[in-house]
Amino acid sequence: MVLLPLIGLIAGFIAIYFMDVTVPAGFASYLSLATLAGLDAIIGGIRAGIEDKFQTDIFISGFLVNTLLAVLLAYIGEQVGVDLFLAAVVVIGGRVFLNLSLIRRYWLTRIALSKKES
Amino acid sequence: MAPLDPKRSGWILQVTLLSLVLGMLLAAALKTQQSVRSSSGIPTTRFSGLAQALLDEKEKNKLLRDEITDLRAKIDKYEQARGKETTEAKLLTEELQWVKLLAGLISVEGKGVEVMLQDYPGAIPADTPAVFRDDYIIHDMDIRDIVNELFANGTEAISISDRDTEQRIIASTAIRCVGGSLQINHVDMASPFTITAIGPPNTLEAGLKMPNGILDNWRPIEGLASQMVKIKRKDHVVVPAYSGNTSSLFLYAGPLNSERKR
Repeated sequence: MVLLPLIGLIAGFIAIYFMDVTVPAGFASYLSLATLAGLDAIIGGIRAGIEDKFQTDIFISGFLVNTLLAVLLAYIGEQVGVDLFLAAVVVIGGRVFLNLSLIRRYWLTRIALSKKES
Repeated sequence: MAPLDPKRSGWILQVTLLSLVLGMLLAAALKTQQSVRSSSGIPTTRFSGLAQALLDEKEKNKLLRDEITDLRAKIDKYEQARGKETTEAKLLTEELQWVKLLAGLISVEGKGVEVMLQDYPGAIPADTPAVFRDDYIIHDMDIRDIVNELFANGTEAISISDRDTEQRIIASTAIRCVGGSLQINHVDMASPFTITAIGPPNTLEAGLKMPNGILDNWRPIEGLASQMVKIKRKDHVVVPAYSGNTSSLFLYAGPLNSERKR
């Protein structure tokens, strides 16, 4: 049950990787940024889930809006000659690390607790 | 791990769903990056990787140019060997050698001059006005002017070398500026340059130095010209054959009224 998101990730990866789908090279950096934003949303969702604060609408809209916003920001940055791309990478990357550390803490606490009980 | 409360675990399914989408994005991003790399032939976009790739390509180009030179020399030998067989072949070979000499496809030797050109070796003084800063650097036009002057005074063959390469000047040679360096025969070159010319040494030297000539009042700032240009008369110099690609020359021009239409 806990591993389901991981399985989903791998399934999606395999589905596209072995299909003949190509994206124009000009979109490469945008696509990478969108992936990072998507990762942030997923990690954020997991964190909300284990903290019992999960709300479907926030999760779904967060995923879509963050992904599109990151790409839009990078695009505008490219048009006006400012590396807004980096701003998105720094902010999103920072959040991914923060959320991951919280998730890690939660699981470590759980493991410690279950050892005490047994 | 203890099973989660089913009421609370609905979120896992939703996360799984979007994980699926994320996996797709990830795969697409990876594939795109891979195709960018394989189609451009550049292994990475990082600076250190790019620098290495550039060095590798330069080294490869140098080896290939050396190979061209070797192969041309071999062809030359075969042609001369054929030329000994019959009178007809001999005449043809002589004619061929002459045409190759005209085209710059064989190495030549003789007396002539060497012109050494280099960027000013010291630092540019900080109080130099912006208009004079260019004077401390060798530009494409300096080399063009000198080559032109050398040809005007009876030079028969010219090559230009830097630390890495030596380029023969042929009919289609372009000498041009590409940002920080020069390109001659489309090969990158940088200071210091040595221009080797075969021709009458005294006339060539006098032509370069004549009053109102190109080196007269060249780099008027005190002490620049003597550091940046040196001319030597030589009793024996070698000018190598053109080592560039010849198959891409004459894509548009063909002999007039010949049956060989392009």
